[in-house]
Amino acid sequence: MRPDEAQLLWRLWRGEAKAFEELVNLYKDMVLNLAVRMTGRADGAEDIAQEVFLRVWKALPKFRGECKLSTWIYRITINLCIAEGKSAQGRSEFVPLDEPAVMALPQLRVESDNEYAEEVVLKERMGPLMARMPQHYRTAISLYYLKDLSYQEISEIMGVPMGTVKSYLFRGKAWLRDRLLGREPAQEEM
Amino acid sequence: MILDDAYRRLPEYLDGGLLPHEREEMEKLFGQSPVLREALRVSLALEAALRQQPWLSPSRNFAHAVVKRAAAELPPAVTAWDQAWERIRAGLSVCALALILIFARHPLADFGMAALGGAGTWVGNLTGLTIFALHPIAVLALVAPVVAGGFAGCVLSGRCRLSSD
Repeated sequence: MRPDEAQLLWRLWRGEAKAFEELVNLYKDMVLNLAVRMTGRADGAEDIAQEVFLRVWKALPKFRGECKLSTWIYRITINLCIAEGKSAQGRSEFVPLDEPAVMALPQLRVESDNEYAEEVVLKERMGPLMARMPQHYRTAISLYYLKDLSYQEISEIMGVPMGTVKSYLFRGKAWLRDRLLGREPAQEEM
Repeated sequence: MILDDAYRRLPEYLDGGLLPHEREEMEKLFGQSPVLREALRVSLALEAALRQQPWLSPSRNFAHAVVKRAAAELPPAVTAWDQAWERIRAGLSVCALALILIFARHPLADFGMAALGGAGTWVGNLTGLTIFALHPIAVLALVAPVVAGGFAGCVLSGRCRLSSD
């Protein structure tokens, strides 16, 4: 734990209201962007981020500094996004991949040499695909590309060995690539 | 390396994770297989898209709204700790007082007896009290238990591990 992080935590434990605001300001961007990438949607991500900080606030007395404060906050964000994803699936807010609306989206086989068109198509498809990706692949990819977190940090956040993190990243990217190419993988690990 | 294997290991190739001879084999296959070339192109585009995802910022009053909600919806998260700390402080005070009484029982008893006996004058008592208050041993008797109690409280409450983490 960094000294400034330890100091902030100490102030939070002592009940300094200003310290909580500092904590929110310190991590709000990371939490929001992680929520966007985990859910594949920008709308509603701010609500999730607010909920994350409320949970942090509630759980602070129990946090004893066993890991970095940021690691703990990312874990809460990921768990909340997973729970939110499940409840959204229950409310049918997520569109399954085999839905006609999704199938109608152009795949990445753009015949022309227009790279810009390909980029647009790719970005259009990324959000819905990320939302449908198996949860552990999505978590690893979201964290890895969030702020170039190291394998070590991701393994601490996800609670799995570094080798498993790498494996999730490779498989996750292969999962995305296969769908962008319209090629269904033989076996999908969920 | 067969084509399916190469296709599967493409992310590893892009991450620089293959052995040199495997990379060579892979590069040979790129020349032979249009499917693999297409997969490489898409993988590179995907990598770029993942790295260039937009970085969003929350609304300007986000932090204020969170703090307001936290204050309105929940009891302060630190109350439990505050209460525990108050209890520890009260315990330390009692311990310190007990230690002071143990260390200073003889001077206090003498002082009390003198005052009760009325043998001395009030000026004498006051002088005795001042001497007692400034006496190094008396000062040590007051300060040492507080320092020792504070240190013990810090260790027992587990707060010291923050600095070693």
